[in-house]
Amino acid sequence: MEYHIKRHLNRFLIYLILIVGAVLAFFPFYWMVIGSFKQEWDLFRWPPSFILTPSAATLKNYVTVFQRVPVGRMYFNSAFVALGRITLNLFISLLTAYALAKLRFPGKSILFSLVLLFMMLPFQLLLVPLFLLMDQYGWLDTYQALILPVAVTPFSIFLLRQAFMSIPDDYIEAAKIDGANQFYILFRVVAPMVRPIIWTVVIITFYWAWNDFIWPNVAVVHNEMAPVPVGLFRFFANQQSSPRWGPIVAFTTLVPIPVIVLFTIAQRQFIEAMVNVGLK
Amino acid sequence: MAFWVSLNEWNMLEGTYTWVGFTRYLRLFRDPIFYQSLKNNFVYIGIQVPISIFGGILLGRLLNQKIRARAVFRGIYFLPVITSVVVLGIIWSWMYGTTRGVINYLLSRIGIAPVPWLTSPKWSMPSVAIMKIWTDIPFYGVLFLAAIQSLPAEVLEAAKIEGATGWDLFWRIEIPLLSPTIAFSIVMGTIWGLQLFTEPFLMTGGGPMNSSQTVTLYLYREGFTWGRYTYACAIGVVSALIVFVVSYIQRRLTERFY
Repeated sequence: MEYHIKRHLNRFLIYLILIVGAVLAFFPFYWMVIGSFKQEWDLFRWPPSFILTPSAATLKNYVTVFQRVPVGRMYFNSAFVALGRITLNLFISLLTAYALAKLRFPGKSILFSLVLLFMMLPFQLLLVPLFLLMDQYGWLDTYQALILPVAVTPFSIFLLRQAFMSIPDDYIEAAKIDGANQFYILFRVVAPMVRPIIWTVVIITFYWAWNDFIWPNVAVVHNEMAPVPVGLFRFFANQQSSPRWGPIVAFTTLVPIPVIVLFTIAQRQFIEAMVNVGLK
Repeated sequence: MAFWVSLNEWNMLEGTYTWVGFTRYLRLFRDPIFYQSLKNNFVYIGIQVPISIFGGILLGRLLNQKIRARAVFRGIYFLPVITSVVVLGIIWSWMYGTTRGVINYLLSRIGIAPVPWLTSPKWSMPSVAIMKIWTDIPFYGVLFLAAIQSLPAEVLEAAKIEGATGWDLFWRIEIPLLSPTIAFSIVMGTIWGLQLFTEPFLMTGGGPMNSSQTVTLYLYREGFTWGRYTYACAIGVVSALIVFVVSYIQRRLTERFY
């Protein structure tokens, strides 16, 4: 009897902590979304109102954002950059990782050490030189500048190489005997065998590209070329002295939507990708 | 591609190693703001990393229990992890408002006087750390959930049969088994902490009075606000060396866990 009570109490505590945690994790998002529909007087009411009164709800904040900022264009920029980064990263990382894992050539181990070294290189080291370089090329405010310097992540090379290492050479030998060339072997034989890792690379690259801020903020001068987070930051920074929170909060609500949609569709793969990244 | 960038990058930095460049380093080693920034990074790491990892382990353990709607919980917890830092930084700046912020309102309900979160030198760095703890506990939680799920079931069973329960099982069996993940998390958390930029950049701009200035933020300010590119490069080189040295020391210290 006592044991039962203890067990129920235990379960109750687990749920209680999890629910309190979930409320804490979710509250800022709730606050952001309801705030984005509030009118100015409602936003700064004191004490604040924790629910959105339907009669006081407004779309005005969103209208203001769309009037003052080329949001559609920014979404396009973000999507285009993300797509470019995913394609390039996947293609080049697959080739490099395959060479590092399965081909024999002089200097291979040095090359791999270099990949590991670049993986540890903090980005702040590259920030200024990269900016000066892009400036020299006249590439500031271009898609090249947003995609090329950050396209290939040593991390994906590392991840794919590890995956390729675990594939027995027999498969490759067999394909060779059948007369397949290296490209065929890579894209038709080996790559399909590491599909989960490829998904990890795609998802992580998308997530990195969509949320990337430091580099795009340096590489982009004009709003028309800005990815969404950079556009949001500048919208926010331009009214630092007297911020109008309604439109700012409406803009913040718009930014994470694509990531959240992707996350909802592929929660398992998404979390797997993050764990892969965390655990290497 | 990475080579191409790196080659150019080193060439450029070699430019700063010439005589002119050398004076930048001398200046850097006597620059009080640089030391202040470095100290802030370490204060942040000292607060943020242990709390986030410990919270993450607890959360991972809770999520590993037989609970209903685990995917729902995990999904909600993951929102802060997947959302752009720019969004989070702005939302938190708004919530941190001293007079009209929702956090101070909630605190006032339990009798706590308004805290000048982002506007006082004392609170600015802890405020950034709190916000990052909020995003990192779920991240580490999911990481440790995966690690806990891959623990050898036989060992845990054996320990249970031997009579180990609750906290005993946790401290003596699970924590040692999790130590590779813990060691890795500490190293990663420290490296991220040394590179902290976007959050203070958005929320405090490094102020007030450099109280939340970080090394990368200082680099950015020198380079892009003041146009002192060579000095910014020198900061970049020194901070990269610091990252290397710190992660090397930590790896050596935690080697036996790998």
